[in-house]
Amino acid sequence: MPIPRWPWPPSREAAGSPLRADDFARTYHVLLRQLEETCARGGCSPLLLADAEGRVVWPAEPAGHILPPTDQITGRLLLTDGWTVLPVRDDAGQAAAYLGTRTAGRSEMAHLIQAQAITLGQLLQRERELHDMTGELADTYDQLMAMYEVSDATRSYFKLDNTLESVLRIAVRLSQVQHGFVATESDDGEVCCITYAWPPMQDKALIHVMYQAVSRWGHPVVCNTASTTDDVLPGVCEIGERCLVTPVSIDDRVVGVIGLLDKGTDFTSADRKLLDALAGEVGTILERARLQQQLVHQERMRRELEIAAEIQTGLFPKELPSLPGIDLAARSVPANEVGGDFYDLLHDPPGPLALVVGDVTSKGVPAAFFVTIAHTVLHSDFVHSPSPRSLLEQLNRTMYDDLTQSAMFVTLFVAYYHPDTRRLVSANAGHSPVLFYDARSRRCRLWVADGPPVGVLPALLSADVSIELHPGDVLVVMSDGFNETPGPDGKLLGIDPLIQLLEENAGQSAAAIRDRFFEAVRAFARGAPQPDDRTICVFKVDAGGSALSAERVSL
Amino acid sequence: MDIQTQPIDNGSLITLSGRMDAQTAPPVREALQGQIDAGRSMLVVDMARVDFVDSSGLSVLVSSMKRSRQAGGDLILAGLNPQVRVIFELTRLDRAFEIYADPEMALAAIPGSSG
Repeated sequence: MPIPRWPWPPSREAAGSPLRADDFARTYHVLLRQLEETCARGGCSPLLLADAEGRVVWPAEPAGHILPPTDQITGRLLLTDGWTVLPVRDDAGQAAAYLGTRTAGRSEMAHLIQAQAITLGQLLQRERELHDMTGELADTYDQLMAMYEVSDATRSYFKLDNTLESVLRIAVRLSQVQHGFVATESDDGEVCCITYAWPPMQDKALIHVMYQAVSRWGHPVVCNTASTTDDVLPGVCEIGERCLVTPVSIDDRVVGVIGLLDKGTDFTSADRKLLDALAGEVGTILERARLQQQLVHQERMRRELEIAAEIQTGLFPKELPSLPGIDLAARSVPANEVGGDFYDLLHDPPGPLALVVGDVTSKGVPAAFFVTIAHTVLHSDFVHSPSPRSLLEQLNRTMYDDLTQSAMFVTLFVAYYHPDTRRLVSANAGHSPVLFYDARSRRCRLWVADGPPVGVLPALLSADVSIELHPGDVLVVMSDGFNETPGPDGKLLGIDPLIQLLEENAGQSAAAIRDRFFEAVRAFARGAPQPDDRTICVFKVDAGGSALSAERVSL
Repeated sequence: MDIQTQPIDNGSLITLSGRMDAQTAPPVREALQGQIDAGRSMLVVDMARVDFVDSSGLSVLVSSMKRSRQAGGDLILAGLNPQVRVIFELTRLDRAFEIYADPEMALAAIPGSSG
């Protein structure tokens, strides 16, 4: 038996339509001819094959054959005596065709026809299955080609709109519809749509209706009749009778819809499968575009943070002031790129040397912004402020409203050292306790704040406190990033170990003391990430002259 | 962080429980701001069951205190446990807030209160 050959690739039209008896007869004409000859040898002719409606499909060209009478109008077979005609049944038992010949009472020929009808039925059934499989293959082939085209379009276009338009062009062509659209919702809730072959005069509000409905339902909507369309999606009839709208999802979250409108025939399951597959591709395209946008945004943020860090680094003293008999060291290590801690050392000879350490509540960019303001105010008001309290008052006056607006405050310790009298006058506005090592008693004392931070109250409550310094005295001004360093068990370091550390290392240089403090918190944290900025200023009265060491560590 | 609110004269008694840090402070800010916006600017915050406050928590209390005072009320703290009290003492925020041993004493101290 010849194996029927189908054109490749098979056309969707041929593969999608139901298998007809005349197609079958054309495909198996050799078989039918052999059967015809067998019948003829047995004295039976002609052999007839009729379709389910009784219309003769074999012989295709009846010339030379004597056919039974047929209805002139319908073409249906009109059987007369002496004919044996049997149904060719499919697996469901339905008569798919009729096989017959004029047996004229020959029972053996009637049996032959009966056997052949059964064989043809089985053959017809297999042929139908093959036909269906070919149809599915054709659909899959179409989808593969579509996916290839989509992937090609994705590579070819860098702009999201062009890529989506290209996908729509493919969907519209393959589904043989007039118009297509993709609708997505932006972060601020605005529905954006890309259309293909959209009628110029047609209102796009229709797309919003379909987007709202289908994105809410989360499943495809197929409307094949005008009335259904109008019921389910009001207003759709204005553009086309039929529509197919499918949600576009990313990780089970609907992020848009893709829709096809105005098809000449009903949408089939093949159309639906194709649009499902394209919706998956659109989801991938949208997700990739979102990630790309996120990357660009992150890169911009990273660059801006780098610039902010550079600006902030520039605010820290590049060189510490040089004063005979005073050993200074400082360092600030932010927890993030930019921080809320700051220190400054201001000197306008022959006036006092000012030491400032501050900590803006909050971290990151908002805190860094206020660090910049504080730096500016400190530098502009230092020369006009005769004492630490007056400088803090000025700072509170200038920054109070802005800090209130931003729900922040600044803890600050300011000390003025007068080299001529060796007196240190200080004021502490809510800042962490300052460690003072008294060289004469060899004991460390804590100087706690006497007023709340800058920005808490309209008036400053801190007072100036004055002491006379002696050789070997050490002042360590830190931010709370030191004593609030968490250990692996979550417990905080606390101030006591730092007091002990200073008492043990007070004989060392300011830089060495500073380094011991950083080593201590590093050892206590045991590799845990630094949760807060850490800033330290070490001021030591040293009979051996001055040694300066300042650092601001950038991450 | 658990936030309980009950009405008092011209304001509310807010009872907080848990840690007050960068993660838990924002809902407290919203709760306190919500009371002030609703005209209940006299706020008594019962902190007896708050075992930790970091700078974010302090910021929320300070900014809410400022807003309530701008609105003609105040934000009064009550029942600070020793660990939290130390934080207020070190930063000297105890000089900025009215602080009472318990909510009853705080309520009694409110001007015009019957308690």
